[in-house]
Amino acid sequence: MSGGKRKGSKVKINNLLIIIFFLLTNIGVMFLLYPTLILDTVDNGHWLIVLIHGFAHIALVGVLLFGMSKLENPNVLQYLPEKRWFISIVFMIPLSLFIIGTVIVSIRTYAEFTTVLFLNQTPILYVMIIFVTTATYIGLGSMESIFRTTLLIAGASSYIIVVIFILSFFNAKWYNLFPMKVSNIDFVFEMPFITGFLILSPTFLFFAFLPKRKKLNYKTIFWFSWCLIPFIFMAAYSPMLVFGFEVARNFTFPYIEMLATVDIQWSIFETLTSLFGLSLLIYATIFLGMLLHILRMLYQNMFQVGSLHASIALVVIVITIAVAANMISTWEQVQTHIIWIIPLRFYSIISLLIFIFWIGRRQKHET
Amino acid sequence: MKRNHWKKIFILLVSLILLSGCWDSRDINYRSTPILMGLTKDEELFHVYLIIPVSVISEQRNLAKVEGKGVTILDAVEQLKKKIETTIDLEHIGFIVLDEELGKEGIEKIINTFMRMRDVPATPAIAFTKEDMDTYIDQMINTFQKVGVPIFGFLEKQTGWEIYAPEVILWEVYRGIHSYTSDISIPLISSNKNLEMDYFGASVLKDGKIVETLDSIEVMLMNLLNNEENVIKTFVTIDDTTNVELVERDVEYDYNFKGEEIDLTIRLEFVLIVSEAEDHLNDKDIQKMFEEKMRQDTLKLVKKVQDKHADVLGISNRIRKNYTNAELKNFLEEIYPNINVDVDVEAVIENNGKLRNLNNDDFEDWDKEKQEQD
Repeated sequence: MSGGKRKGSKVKINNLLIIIFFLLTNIGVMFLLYPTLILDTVDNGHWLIVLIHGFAHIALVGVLLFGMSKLENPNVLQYLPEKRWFISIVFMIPLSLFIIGTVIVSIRTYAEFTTVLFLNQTPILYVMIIFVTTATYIGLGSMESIFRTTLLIAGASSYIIVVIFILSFFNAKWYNLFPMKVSNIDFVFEMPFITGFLILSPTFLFFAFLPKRKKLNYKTIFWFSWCLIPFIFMAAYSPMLVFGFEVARNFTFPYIEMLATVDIQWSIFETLTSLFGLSLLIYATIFLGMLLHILRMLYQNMFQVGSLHASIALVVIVITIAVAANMISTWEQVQTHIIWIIPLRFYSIISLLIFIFWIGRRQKHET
Repeated sequence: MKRNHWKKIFILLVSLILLSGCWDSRDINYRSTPILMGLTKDEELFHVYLIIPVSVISEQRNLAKVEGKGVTILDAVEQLKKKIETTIDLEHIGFIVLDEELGKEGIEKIINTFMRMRDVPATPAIAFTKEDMDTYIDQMINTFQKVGVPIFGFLEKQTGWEIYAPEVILWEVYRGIHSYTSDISIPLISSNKNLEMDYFGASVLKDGKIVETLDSIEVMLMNLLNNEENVIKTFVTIDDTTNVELVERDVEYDYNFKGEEIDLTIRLEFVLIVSEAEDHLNDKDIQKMFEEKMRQDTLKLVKKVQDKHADVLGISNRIRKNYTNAELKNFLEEIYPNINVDVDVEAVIENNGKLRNLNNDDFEDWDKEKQEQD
């Protein structure tokens, strides 16, 4: 926040920070709702869904990064024209709504998850308040500070996460991998598939709003994004390998239930689920912080106001978000609200890509 | 210091207050953590027993029994909580003992409740008891206080588990009840004045109901066939005078599809050490006797569970890949009982313990060659 004087000692944004942030937020988002969505999509042949989703995500990351690499400035908001009411309505407002909707659903989901896992007696509102306050505090900082925080947290939790990923195959039975036959591909037009399609896209948004580029190499970042496919495989298949499809389907959070079955008495990782849950919560907080930070930037550029004004506006928005999230009272409603965001999701992704394309064209004509 | 820092310090101090505890937190000295839950039903009411370790004055650990009755399981637990002065934390329950009568009626709903409850872990061991729950729990506390043996150690891998007992954990029971292709068997026990407990074999569950009982030898065979862990060390009695020790085994399920018919050959390979034998037998005789006995016993076991449409041997699990989930739904009812099973046992005798078996003609082959040459 108060840069300038101590510049020399700070870590600048580089490939490593961005890759770590990307992988961490994706892990934080993926392991709660995503397994259920994949299990709901079809009865047999989930590997196909995983691959389709995975490749769609990677294609989106690829196109986004390719577009951004052609621009001179890595922040698309630097290219806004003087008269910005049109672009505000077409691009920025839907994107903001998308971010707000995602944040509402996410904090509700994570609050539910927290109450399931550790705080069964705490009312959900208070969990959400703690959660959203931390995220707002992160969001009020600069993008560099978010990345640096991520590095610290990754250093502290990566060992646990790796151990957990290995142990998630502790009770796996190979025969539960089957049946693998794909009976038909009608699922493409059904709701669970569409809901899950590009559901991780909020974690990619930050690629279009980076502050400086000096040390960035978009190609390396793109190759690391291939890690998504094994992660999705793990999220969907390790509960299935332990329970079998027909049983894993019954759980609200299949991956978490699967971790609860791991019982190793000799290790400090006896309470695997709690450790994993805590890591997920921290990752999700960073992810939400980043979304709120982007929201603040959008607001600042939409109304062309100062930084303090935007920060206050963000706090007001966050209070609205918390109230809205508190109004979602049942778990069923969370599912329907996810469906509400779907059109916004596709619209904002497409408009973002078109916007980048338009900037690129204009840049070409000017030179 | 700049004003900015004071602001940060203030925020930190305020957050310290917020971080001090969770909602409605109770101190650890006002909490009780039961280690065992006993569940039975009398006159349409669920009857829950808990065993709670208490260490009040003396250093010695003591166990206390508490009980509650209610219309549902949770109601019973709540009734129990009302009576007791501390908070009850179910998070550390290690064992759940169910009345055998419940098993005959079906335990599907009970297991679902345990899986659904947020404060019961997924990892307690499950067992059925034959006798009255009240006497059972009393007897167990008595033995513990007299002898000090770990309660239920015989079901825990790290303590005293033997291959004759099935190893069953709550989530495995849940999986066994709801899975399309596998079932589960649960150990059947009762208390005993001398030792810790009596073990009667295992009850096979089918959709949560007891349909068959296996004795301990059959359970051992089941474990040999289906338990993937390769460390086995157990003795098999072939007849009154002969006994061998199993050191290693290898199981292979060989399926053969002929149209609608499915033929299955279970190939078992063992490495043995002879531990007890009559003097006149040589290795080959012992090997043949062992192979024949294993074959007969396994066939009998397979027939027994196939008749009840329950699969505890993992036969259907291994052909999941040939079907879709829709077809698997009725697999155990329609296809599984009609699988033709054959058993093929091969044994190798590694050695005879510390003694030599002088009946073996070690130079037989060599002799033969010599005779042919002559």
